[in-house]
Amino acid sequence: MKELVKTLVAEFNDKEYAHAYMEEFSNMAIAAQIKVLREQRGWTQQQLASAADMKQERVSTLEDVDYDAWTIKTLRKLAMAFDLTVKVSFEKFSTGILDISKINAQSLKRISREEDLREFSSNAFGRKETFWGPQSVITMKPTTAVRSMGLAVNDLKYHEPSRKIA
Amino acid sequence: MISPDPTEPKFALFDYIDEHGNNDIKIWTQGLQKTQQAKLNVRLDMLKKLGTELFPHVLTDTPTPGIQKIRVTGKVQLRPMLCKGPINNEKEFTLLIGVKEIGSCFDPKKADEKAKERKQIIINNSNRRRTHERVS
Repeated sequence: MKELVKTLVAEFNDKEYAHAYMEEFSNMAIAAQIKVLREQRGWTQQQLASAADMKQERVSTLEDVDYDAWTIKTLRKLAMAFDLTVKVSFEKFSTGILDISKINAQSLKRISREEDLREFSSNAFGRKETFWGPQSVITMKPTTAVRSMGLAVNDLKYHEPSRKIA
Repeated sequence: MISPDPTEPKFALFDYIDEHGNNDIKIWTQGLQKTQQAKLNVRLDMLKKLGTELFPHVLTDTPTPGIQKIRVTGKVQLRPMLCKGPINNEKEFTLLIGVKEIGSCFDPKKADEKAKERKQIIINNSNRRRTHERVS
C-alpha cells in the first residue's frame, strides 16, 4: 500500500482533488466505523437505534457509505450509545493519507468506556503501550515488528534501540 | 514468520479494453471533472484494498446478474459497472463500462447488458483487459 501512499501524495498537490478525495473517504470511514462498532458489540441496527434513540431506518442510512450530512450532534448520540467519545479535529493531509493506508475493520474497533478504563489502569495508564518503551519485549527487528503489527512507520517515533531488550 | 501486511491490497483491478486496444474506462474517466475523479478513486482504492468487507454498499447490483455498479453521488451520478473476476473471482474486479445515471436511466442505455457482453468477451480472451489505469 506504499504505492497508494505515494500516489496520493502526488495527487494531493491538487487542492480541489485532495479535498474531494478526503471528504469522500471520511464520509465512508464514519459510516464503516458505525457498522464495525455495532457488530463489535453484537448489536442489530434496531438495538443500536434503541440505544441511540433513533429509528432503525436512520441507523441504516448512517451506515450507508453514500451518507454525507454528518452533524456532531448525531455523532455524539452514537458515541453515547457505544459508550465512546467523539474526537473531532483538523488534520494534516499526510495524516489522512496514513489513515487511508491503514484502514480496515480492526483499526475501526473501539472498546467501550468501562473495559477501556480497566485496561488503561492495569496497563500503567498507557505506558506499557508505548511501542519502544522500557516495558516492551521485542525480539525481532523493528521493521519486522512494524510490519507484523500493521503499523505505518511514520506513526512511530524513532528511539535508538541500543538497549538490549530481554 | 511475518504476518500478511494488512496495508497491502487484497484485490487487483482491471479495465476493459476495446477491440482497437483502447482503454474504454480510462477514456471515460478522463472526461469526468476533477472532484468526480477523486470520489471515484476513493471507492476504487477501498475496493482494491479491502473488497466489500468494510464498505458493503460500495457495490450494488444491477438488473443484470453478475454485473454490479459503483455508486458515486454528486451533481452527476456516476455508476461505472464492473464484475468480480472474471478470470479469478476471488482476487480481482474488472471495470467494464463507464456509466452515468440521469433521471433513473443509465447513460449509455442498457449499460448493464453491454457490461455483461464485455464480461463474456474477457472470459473468452483475457487480453481484452488491462491493469486498471488511474486517472486524476
